[in-house]
Amino acid sequence: MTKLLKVLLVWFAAGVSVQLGAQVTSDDLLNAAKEPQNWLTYSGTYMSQRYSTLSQITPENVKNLSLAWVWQNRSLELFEATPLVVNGVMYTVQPPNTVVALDAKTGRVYWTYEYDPSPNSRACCGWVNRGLAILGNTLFMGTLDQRFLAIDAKTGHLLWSTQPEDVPSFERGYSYTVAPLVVKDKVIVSSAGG
Amino acid sequence: MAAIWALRRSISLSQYLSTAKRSKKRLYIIYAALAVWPLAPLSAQRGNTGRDPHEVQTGSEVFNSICTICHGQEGNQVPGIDLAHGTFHFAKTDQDLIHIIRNGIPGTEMPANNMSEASAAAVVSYLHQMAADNADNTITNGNPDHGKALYQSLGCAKCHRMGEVGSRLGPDLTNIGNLRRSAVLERKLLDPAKDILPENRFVTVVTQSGRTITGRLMNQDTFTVLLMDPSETLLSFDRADLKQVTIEDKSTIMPSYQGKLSNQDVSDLVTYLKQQKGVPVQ
Repeated sequence: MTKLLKVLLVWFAAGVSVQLGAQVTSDDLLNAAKEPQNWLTYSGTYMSQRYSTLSQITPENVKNLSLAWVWQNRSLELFEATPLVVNGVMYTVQPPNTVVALDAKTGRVYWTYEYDPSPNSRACCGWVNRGLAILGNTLFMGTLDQRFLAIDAKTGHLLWSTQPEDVPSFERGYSYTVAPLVVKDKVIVSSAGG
Repeated sequence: MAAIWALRRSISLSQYLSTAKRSKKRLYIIYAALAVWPLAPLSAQRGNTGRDPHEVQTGSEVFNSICTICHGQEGNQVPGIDLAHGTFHFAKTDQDLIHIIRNGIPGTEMPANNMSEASAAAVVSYLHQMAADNADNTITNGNPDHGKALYQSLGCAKCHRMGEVGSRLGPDLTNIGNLRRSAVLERKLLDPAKDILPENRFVTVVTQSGRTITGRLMNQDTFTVLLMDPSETLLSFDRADLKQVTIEDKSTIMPSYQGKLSNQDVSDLVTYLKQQKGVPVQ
């Protein structure tokens, strides 16, 4: 019997259940200020102060900060996304619409989900994206060509993609660059440009 | 218990005999296995072209990274051209095929490919393998409803995901109908440890403190190993903190259904899997 089999046999035998529970609940989002080690929504909390209560970096020691890691963005567009951080995993967007999951400690990549928006997208001010929203194990992103995507936060697989009705066409210069906002079980997103 | 039994079933018979205390029940199981023994070698011969399996594997990798862009996974995506049945419009010999792969066909969409003769020869071996698989393919008109019932009763979702249901530990099957030929799906059910793709491999790491963790390999580089553990938690390890890293490229927790499912069951399951064609895009 292979070692792999033995290890997993032990794991199954120990009765460890597969954890399929939600990673980020709407209660977690409501109480995001209680988890300063995480960054669960674009502006940090629903107060939108974008202020971290972590105390390791202070006005006194900030001058001592040094480079911990570098992740090379493979895009020449502007970087405008605020990353989310959930239990040590950092989720961010490489412009225009590529989602990346990194180990926040080392910058190593867990997975990459590439979405190429239509070349006919005409965003006013660069092919940019401001970031993601998360609920459960699902990441949400609006795209430059007015699509709205749900992506599995563990694997980077596309869960669904939709083009909301009654929104003006991206060919007329409308786009989603905003980071979506999750409120309870709803995701709010809005078009820019035109 | 079902999961443990499913895992145990992929232990070889000799290991089973040597490790198991021979209870009556187990002996019955061995007798039952011996009763179907003569059946097994027949299906083990499936798709045998006599070609070097490593060359076929290399050829499949080259084919899947270059040729599928136009020809598709089944080799029949270009109208009127079928690469997977062993006969070709412009080639009579393997040498002709190698020449076409490397130099293209003037006046057609088939471009020249900058690849070595050895790579082109590997692709040719893979084309013959596809033809042999297709000739042997018993997957015709399976019953997808029964296939779905089998998928559920065999517990496939314990490791595989379809849409938003099932574990993320094994390969995601949401789009498997677009990704794999039915002959390949059939082979995976019968001989799952053969030719495990790099993106589907497991990794076992042993930390300096002696903890052993097995999970799905997400990524690795000179300094780091990233994996998903069985509870679907993403973990990142510095290689300096690990005593041992084993990429599991020859073994899998997926049990073999060789001799355990009838040909009809395999057909039904593969037919169901072939229907899985991605997420709805509205």
